[in-house]
Amino acid sequence: MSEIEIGRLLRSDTTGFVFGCRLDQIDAPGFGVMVKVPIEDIYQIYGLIYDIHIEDDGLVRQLITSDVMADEAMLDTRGNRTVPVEIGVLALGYEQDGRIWHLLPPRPPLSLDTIYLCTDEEVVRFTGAGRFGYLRQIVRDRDKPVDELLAAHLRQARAAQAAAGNADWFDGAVRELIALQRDDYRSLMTVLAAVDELNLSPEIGRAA
Amino acid sequence: MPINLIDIRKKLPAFSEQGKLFNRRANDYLVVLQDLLVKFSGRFNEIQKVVKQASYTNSRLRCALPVDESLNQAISVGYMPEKVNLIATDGSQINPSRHTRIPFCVINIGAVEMVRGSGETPKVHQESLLMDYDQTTLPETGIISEGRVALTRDLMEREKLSVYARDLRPPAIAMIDGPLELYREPQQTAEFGKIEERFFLAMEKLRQRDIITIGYVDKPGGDLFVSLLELIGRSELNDVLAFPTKRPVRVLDVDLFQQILIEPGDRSAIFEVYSGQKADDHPDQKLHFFYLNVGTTERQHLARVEVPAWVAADKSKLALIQAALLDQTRIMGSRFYPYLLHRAHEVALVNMDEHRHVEDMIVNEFIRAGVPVGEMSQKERAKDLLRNGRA
Repeated sequence: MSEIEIGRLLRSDTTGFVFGCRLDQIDAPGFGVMVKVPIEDIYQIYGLIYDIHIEDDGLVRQLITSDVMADEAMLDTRGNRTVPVEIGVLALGYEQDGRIWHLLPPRPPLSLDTIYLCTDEEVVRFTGAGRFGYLRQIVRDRDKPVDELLAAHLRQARAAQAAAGNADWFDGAVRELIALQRDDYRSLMTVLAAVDELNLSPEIGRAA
Repeated sequence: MPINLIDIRKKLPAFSEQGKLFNRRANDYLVVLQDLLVKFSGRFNEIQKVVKQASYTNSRLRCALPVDESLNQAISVGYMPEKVNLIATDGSQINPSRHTRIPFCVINIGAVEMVRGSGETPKVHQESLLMDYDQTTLPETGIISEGRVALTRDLMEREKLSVYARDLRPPAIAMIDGPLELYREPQQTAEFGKIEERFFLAMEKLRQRDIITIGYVDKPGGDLFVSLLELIGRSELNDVLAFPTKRPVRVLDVDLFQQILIEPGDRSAIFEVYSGQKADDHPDQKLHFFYLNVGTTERQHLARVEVPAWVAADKSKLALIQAALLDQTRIMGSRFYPYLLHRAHEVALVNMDEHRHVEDMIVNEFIRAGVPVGEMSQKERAKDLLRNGRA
């Protein structure tokens, strides 16, 4: 499967980064989807999209006052103008010398580094390595919509793992989440409610 | 230092009283001009004679000249064709400064092309020119004047318009922001002729491809039509109304046309810019104009649209301009300004960060090539402190 480039890095820190893409590239990255950033052939960072933010500007604010929404002006704004979509990514871990680490990367990516979507193989390799250690990075950040983020991530990873023949991966991930949240009943219930949504989804049921 | 608001406040009552007086005198004068306008509205053949006669005694005469439409006519907007090709260009520049480490000049041209009605993404063009060193620093006068840079930018805008528009299929409109013709500073003499020839060459290329060329003047401050009425008022044609021998107060063409162009999309009669002293070397490109109401029923907004003679002579082309400009301004909602001109401006604009980045690139290249680099003036350094909020 060929790699899908989805944007370039705007800013970063140890725990995550923000990348930008044009409005007409926005179809590829979705909330809760796994992405990667190769760092100079040394290692690559894996992360999870937790926020998609579309900036406005003076012209956009002006155009919405119009009764005439010209298709050409809309395409112009989305395709030609420098109004980037800002996408926030939570760092989950990294891969170095073929080995997956569910730890924060040694250093964050640099400005203009390229961000790619993870392939299904990469999702299987990263989420299947070790014992779900990367879920720690997700559940500990209460500033983010953790329950929704987990649900979106589990949906992607469960489908990829199931397609790779690992049907019991999902149960293991849920057990790990229960263990991580056992001291926080309210958070645990919220996460389990989100997981329940996945079990009710016929689409996921089929994939699993 | 902040402005002394106490001083300003003291002056405010007198200043607003002056404004009130000015408006009263302007309104009185407009009534006189409107009477003339109504009385002579359909007599454009006689008016043409008056203007020609006046030019014999006044070689610097410059006024509007009616062509074949009544002076007080309002021509309604027609239907917009299904598809129209449109392109707009604009330019901006980094003016050279003796305060910087190396004086340099950059001209940036932006253009946006749209096939209205196609549902396709518009195409963006952008070109930047670093002016040659020996054109920036001149032997006699030193750094090139800002007026000369502006003239070069204006010429580039029009030349690039003719290049970018070459593949457009009619019906097509190519527009620039501001007057269509080049502005000539009083000291620009010998070389202006050469520049003007290049301007006419670009305009001619557009004519040969049947691409309607317009200059769009937002908030026009012109008084060519007022000058025409004054000429009529003082001529033998006016044997009824009393008319002042000197202009009592400055009023603008738009002050008169806002009484005429009531409905959105209305355009005025077309006028030639009569300039008696000018040789008529390019009759097809002779400048014409009309006023256009691009506002709404609730809020009127008049723009002046300048076109060359070959466009002015074709009523279907004028109708297309009317419909297309109204459509363009409607895209912008409550700001009655053509969308494409706004976008061309956005593409062309050079911001301060880009300015500094270009300067750094030039300085680094000079250092790499072993060319001496001057120092930034102390004044510029002090300004930098202000800009960076450290003063």
